[in-house]
Amino acid sequence: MKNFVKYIFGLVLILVAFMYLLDFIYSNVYQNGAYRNKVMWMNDLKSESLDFVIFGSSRANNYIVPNIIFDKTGQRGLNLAIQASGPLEIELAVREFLKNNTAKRFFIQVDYSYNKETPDKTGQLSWLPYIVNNNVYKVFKPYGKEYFFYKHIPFYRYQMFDSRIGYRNIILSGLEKGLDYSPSRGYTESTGKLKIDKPYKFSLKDKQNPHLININEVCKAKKIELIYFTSPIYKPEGNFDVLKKHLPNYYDFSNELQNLELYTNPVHLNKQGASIFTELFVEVFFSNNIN
Amino acid sequence: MLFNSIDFAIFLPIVFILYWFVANKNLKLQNALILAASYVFYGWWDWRFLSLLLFSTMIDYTIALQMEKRYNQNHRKLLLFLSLAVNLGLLGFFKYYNFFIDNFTTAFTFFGGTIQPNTLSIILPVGISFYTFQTLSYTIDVYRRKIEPTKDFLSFAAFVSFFPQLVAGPIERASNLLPQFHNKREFDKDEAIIGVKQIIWGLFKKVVIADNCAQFANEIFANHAQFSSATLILGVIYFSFQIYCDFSGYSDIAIGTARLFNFKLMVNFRYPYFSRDIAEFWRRWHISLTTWFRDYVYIPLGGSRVSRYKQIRNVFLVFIVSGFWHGANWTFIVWGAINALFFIPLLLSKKNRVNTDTIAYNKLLPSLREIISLIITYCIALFGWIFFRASSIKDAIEYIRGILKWDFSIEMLKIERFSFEIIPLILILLGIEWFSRNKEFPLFSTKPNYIKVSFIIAMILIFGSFSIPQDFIYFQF
Repeated sequence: MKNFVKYIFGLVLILVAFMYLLDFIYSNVYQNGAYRNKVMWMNDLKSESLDFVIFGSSRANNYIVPNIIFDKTGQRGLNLAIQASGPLEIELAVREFLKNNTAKRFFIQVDYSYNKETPDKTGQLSWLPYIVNNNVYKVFKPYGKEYFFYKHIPFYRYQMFDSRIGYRNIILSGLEKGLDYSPSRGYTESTGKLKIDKPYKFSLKDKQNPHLININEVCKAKKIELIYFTSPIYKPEGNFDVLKKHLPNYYDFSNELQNLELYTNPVHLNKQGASIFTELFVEVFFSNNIN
Repeated sequence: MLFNSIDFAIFLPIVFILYWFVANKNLKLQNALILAASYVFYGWWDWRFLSLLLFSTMIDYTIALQMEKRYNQNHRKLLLFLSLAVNLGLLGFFKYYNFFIDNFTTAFTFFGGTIQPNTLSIILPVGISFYTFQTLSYTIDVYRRKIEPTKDFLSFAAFVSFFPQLVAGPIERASNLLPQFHNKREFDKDEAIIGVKQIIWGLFKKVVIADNCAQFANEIFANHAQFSSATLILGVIYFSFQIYCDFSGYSDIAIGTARLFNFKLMVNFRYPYFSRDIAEFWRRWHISLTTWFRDYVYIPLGGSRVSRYKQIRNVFLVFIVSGFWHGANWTFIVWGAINALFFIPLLLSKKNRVNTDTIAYNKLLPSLREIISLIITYCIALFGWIFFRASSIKDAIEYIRGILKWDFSIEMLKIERFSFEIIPLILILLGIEWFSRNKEFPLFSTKPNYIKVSFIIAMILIFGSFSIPQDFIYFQF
């Protein structure tokens, strides 16, 4: 039995050593490798002083083209919206951006996910490699014991979400097969074609979202102008009046662009739709700056 | 409780410690602990079905004892029929009731009648097909006077419910496993080390190969109409490795776990994709079920020592029943029939036992002839797997039609992966298995070496699919 216990102990040591080694390698790739997600790109932004920054989910990421805004107004900005982000991930993005950078105006896209207070299953994935940082961890910590394990057990987070942040991303990043966000200043195109012509239904509860309250406070403290908006949806049916009630400086574009040809699905615009919406965005928010 | 879950990772060391440090002095205590652990293991999934397990155990225990007391052959036969009726009745009700009702309704309607189908919402108890066959082997062997019935209920109950192999086999014979419950087990370091390595190897097959292949196979089979021939071929190749590694991985973990408690279970898989004909494939695939059908169905029907017509009938019957054992769907029956169709020519030409040794024994590589045989056998298996995996016969035929479109474009799947991305992992598995084909499993060795095991641990950590946990396929059977 003694020899067997020794053998098991040896295997456990090997397992732990591998976990530390792999965690070190993966984390290094997420710090220094070619960009596999937008958080990696955002972490590399240093001392940027911008005119505006867009935050939100893919419904901001696929909707607003900063290059068009720059061409029309000369205003420099970035689209830092990250796919599947809910209010929690948006708050995190705002805080992380402000650690090393600043901007005059923040545009935050909010919609049917407004009531969500917990981490988004997909949205959180871009952040998990960085959960060892206390700033990131403290945002996730209240929402489950698993975040404790993701932070403290080496490699556990990469393993539990291997399909999104695992070996595939590491290999592609190592092979320099990264995503280059700089030329488009963060905008990403949505592809596909909307085929089903039917209303998009949702229902919001009439209550505040703590993460958005936090964002209000941060922006107030940093004297950043904060604008909330809702991007177009194909045939929306719901109660965005809740957002109007609870959010300062809120603009509702959900009923704009009701042309099926401009959508890839009911809640995402295609490239042409994004151009049209960005022009509308410029008219509403940058009318004083138009060249 | 799943073998690849945190629950089991906690459960197993607790049972191991109690078994060797608390119950090690007393056989009854060892068996009682195994029984309790097995019921916890099974009840973790759904405690209500423990009563079914207990009922089946009590019935067969009592019937076997009654058989021993009777000298009149007719009385013994009656008791055997009672055991068959109860066990197969329960299995039939839980697994096949709705299938028969649906088909009866369809047939009735076809001939112009009208009938309201009275199907029930029945949950299939996990492992019922496995433990039913295990207990049946006991009563049949007692009836045949091959074994003595046990008077020790504790041992018998532990034998029926032995947790490593309770829910997905290997389907043990009473003649092999039951005597092990009658003898006190001493800790065997070599067996325990082999057991640990076998568990690690089983985990590798499950989480690195089967679960990764599952994501691709599920996506391709679910949306087969929109994919190219190349993707469809890859889909069935992925499924072939998913089902092999899922099931043989489970068997490895089961056998390895049993070894930790110094039990020896039968080998269930012997590198089946290195078979040179379909008969060899069936000697290497799910051995515990194949031999069960051989001993309790095929041979009693006369086996191959009957007329040609009856030989063909026997083979068809065994393969079709074996297919039906897997599930209440015509796809499994067709799968069985396809295998029978390819097996019968070998049997009739007396070539079904030509390849009984290991391929390319003592050689690095197989001959060209062997390679061709391997490929042909694998293609036959693949053809059968299409029916096994498809949700209906219609889907299977459409899938085959899709392959025959002969369009070889490489595609991106909805899971955001190219269709070919898992091939390197499959090649690694095949490489490891090829160089280990003379061993029970690739890591088999009593020496506590670390290098090969460390490599497999690293593979599990890096390539293991943990984000989308997949149940073991054979749980549904």
